[in-house]
Amino acid sequence: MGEMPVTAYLIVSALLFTIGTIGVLVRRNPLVMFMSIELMLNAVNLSFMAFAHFLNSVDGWMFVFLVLTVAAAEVVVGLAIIVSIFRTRRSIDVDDLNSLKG
Amino acid sequence: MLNLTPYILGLPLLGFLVVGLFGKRMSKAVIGGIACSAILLAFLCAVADFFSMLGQSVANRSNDVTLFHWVASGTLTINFGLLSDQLSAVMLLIVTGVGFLIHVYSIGYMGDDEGYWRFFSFLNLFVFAMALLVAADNFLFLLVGWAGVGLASFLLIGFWYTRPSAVAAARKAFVVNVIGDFGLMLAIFMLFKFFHTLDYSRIFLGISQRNVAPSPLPPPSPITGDVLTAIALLLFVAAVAKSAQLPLHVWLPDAMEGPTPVSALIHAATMVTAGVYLVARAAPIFTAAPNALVVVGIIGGASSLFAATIACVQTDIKRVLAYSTMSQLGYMFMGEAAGGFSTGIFHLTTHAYFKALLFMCAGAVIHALGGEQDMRKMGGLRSRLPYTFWMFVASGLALAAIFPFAGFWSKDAILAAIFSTAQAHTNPVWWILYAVGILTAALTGFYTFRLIFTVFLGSYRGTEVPAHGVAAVARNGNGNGNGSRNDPLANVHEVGAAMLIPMAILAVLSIIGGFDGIPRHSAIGDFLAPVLGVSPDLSGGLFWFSLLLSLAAALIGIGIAWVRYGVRQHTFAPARGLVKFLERRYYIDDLYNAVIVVPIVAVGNVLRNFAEDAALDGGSRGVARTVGATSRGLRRLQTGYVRNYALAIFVGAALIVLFYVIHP
Amino acid sequence: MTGAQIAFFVLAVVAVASALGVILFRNAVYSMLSLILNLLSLAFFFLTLDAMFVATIQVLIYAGAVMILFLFVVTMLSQDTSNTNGPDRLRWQAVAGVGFGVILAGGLIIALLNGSLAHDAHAAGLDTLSNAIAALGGNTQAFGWALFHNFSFPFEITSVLIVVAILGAVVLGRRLTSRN
Repeated sequence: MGEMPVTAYLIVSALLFTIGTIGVLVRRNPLVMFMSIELMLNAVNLSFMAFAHFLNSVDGWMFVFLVLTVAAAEVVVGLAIIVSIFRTRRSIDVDDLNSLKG
Repeated sequence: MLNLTPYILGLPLLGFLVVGLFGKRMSKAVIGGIACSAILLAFLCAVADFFSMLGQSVANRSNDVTLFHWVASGTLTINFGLLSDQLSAVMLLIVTGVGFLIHVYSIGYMGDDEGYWRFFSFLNLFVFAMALLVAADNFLFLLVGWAGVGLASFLLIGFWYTRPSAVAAARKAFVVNVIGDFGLMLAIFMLFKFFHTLDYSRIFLGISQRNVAPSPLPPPSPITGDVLTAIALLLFVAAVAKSAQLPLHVWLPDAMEGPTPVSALIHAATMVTAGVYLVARAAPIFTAAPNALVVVGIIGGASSLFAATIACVQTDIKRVLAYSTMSQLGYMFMGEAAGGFSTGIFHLTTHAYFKALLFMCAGAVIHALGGEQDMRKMGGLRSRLPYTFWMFVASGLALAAIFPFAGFWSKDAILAAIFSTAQAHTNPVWWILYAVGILTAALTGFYTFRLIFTVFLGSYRGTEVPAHGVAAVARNGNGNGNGSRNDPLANVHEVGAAMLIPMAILAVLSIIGGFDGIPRHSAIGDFLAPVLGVSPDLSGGLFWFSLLLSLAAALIGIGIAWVRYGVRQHTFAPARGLVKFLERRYYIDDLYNAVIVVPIVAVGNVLRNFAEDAALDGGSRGVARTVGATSRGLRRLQTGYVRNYALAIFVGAALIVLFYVIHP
Repeated sequence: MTGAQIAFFVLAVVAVASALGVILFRNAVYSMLSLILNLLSLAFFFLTLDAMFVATIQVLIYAGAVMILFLFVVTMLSQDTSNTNGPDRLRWQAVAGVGFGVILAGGLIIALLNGSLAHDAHAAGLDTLSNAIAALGGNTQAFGWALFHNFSFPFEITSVLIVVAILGAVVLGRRLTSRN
């Protein structure tokens, strides 16, 4: 089951990454933005795995593991922040956080 | 032979420093005491020098003391040296003697002025600078003294610095004087170029030996007559500026804004005579450049006549005397131009006596009337100010050159020299100058006694009641006092002893001071002859003719003044026609203003508006504005929205990827 | 078409579609569910790449723990607050974002298709990788061997990171009362 060239996986990864980026830029709900970031991280995980397979090295799996762990930690802290910010507001809109306007 | 010149310079300098630094905290008595005693001691030193000089034989009467070496560079060596010879001895006696009398006079005149200490420190500074000027033994230190007296004059004319007219006058004097400084500097440059030294003795030696090779190294330029004429004319430019001759005379009438002792000392007796001294000191140069002497004579004669005509219509006491000074200086230059350098110096000494006295009397009148200087508002003061009146008459007679007062002898010596030169040369210019001299003598008599009769005879024309003292002058030039309406002169009284005693001494000198110049027995002429040469003189009948002619001219002038101003009260009509032309000083001031001042001010304005504003706008403010505009533009990137920042990062990343797509 | 290729295309379509679902659904819960689907499809991708252990971790941690966390927060916040239904204040943001996104995707795909990898002979290398795995005694053993032989330091640091994150979450999650 390994007849797909590695570029195919990379193309899929690129598409997923781009979709995630667009999600970060376009959506205003902070939770959906966060999910888009998770999407980007996973796209990168996919390309790591594809390369691990292509270069015959298990070290690629290590990166995936570390990315996954860090993403989990990041989700924890990020959601805590989002909760604490938006606990007191009536709407969850990232555009309301514009007090650093120059 | 004694040479106490270092002390003659050092004492006034010390006085200047002490009073200048500590005067604010001293009492007026102490200030006056220090300043006057400094000058008195200097005068005594000058007297001691003079008598020790008389005790020497004629050949030995010159003593040059070098205080220190200043410049030793290649062929140029300049030492700070002080020369004591006959000419400098006479000048120092005048400077310190008349200076001392005026210091004492100032104690009375400036007694109620707050700037008392400043005044005396400046006066001492002036005496120091003037002594340096006449005692220096080389042209460079002459220049130092020259600039120093210009500075002192500036400080003293603008003494009452809260008056804008005084400040403007001081500035005008300084600017015009700088033109003269420039001429002197150019002369010094030429002297150095051709003689490689600036010492009087070596330069004069070089002139006398100029047909023999003057100096060994470097190869000398030939010192032609043209060179000497050029140097002489440049020196004369300096003299014209300092002695207020045409065309650089414009500062002298305005200089009357200063206090009257300043006018007496600086603008009558000493500073303005520095030009006459310079021409006399440089007599070897001028004698070797006869064309320059003709120029000197012409300018002296023109200035003399010009000033005398203007003085006839002036209505301010001090301005009449200022123009009179200019006129008499013209006489001195005419005498020197005719080869009579010692006659010029002789007239300098007598002029110092009577002109200083005239100014002091005018100051007494002004002081008694609380600052009034307009003749049209005076009159009938003879009964109130008797001493002043008689001293005014004495000095007036000396000025008008009536026998046997001092001015008679000196002016006639000058006229005789001109007559004799006119006979000896074929140039008709000398006859014209003689005629000018006679005519000016008549005018001199006229305006002098016009002044005296207007001020002292008749009845009082003033409308205000005068106060006493000069503090009012400092403020606004007028006073108001305590007399009653019935007798407005009730408060007017004679000035104090501090002012009267120096005036009396000068009055005595004005009467007897000319006897040392009796023709053919001229003590002063003989005394100065080793330095200045023998003056041309007339013999026998021609001499009496010239003498009687000038005396007659003066008496005619006085007679016309008596008829017009003395017999009945003269009412001064507003000026019209010829009188107006004279009153506006031949419109020369207006000419200078239009031709020189207005264009320069216009150029300055253009530069200020365009160049400076453009520089400021384009330069500093433009930079600031650009930075501000840039930052305002860049600030719009900081929208505060997180999503915009994310977009910015993303755009950057996309562009980098794009770059690598295009250039793998 | 071999089975591998069919499987690949199906998984690819599902992954991309679910990704689009994440960003396009108005309802946050639907977005979250799409994300879970996406994570699962990625786990299947890992399986095709002979990484059973990593696929399992992906499902357990990502699709399991992390998404449960998301679920809690989404439901909690959507109770208190209204949805983001107002008009977008940044009008050009969406246009610029999609535009540059298309540029990025296009650029990457072109680069990939023209790059050296595309023309490389041994794109697949299953045999050699599975040999390596077998030599180490199996999938999990290979994973553990690599982790603790070559990556033990990052492993330790990561554990510190997790502790910090936990503490951070506890601190940030507290309600501010007057006592604080």
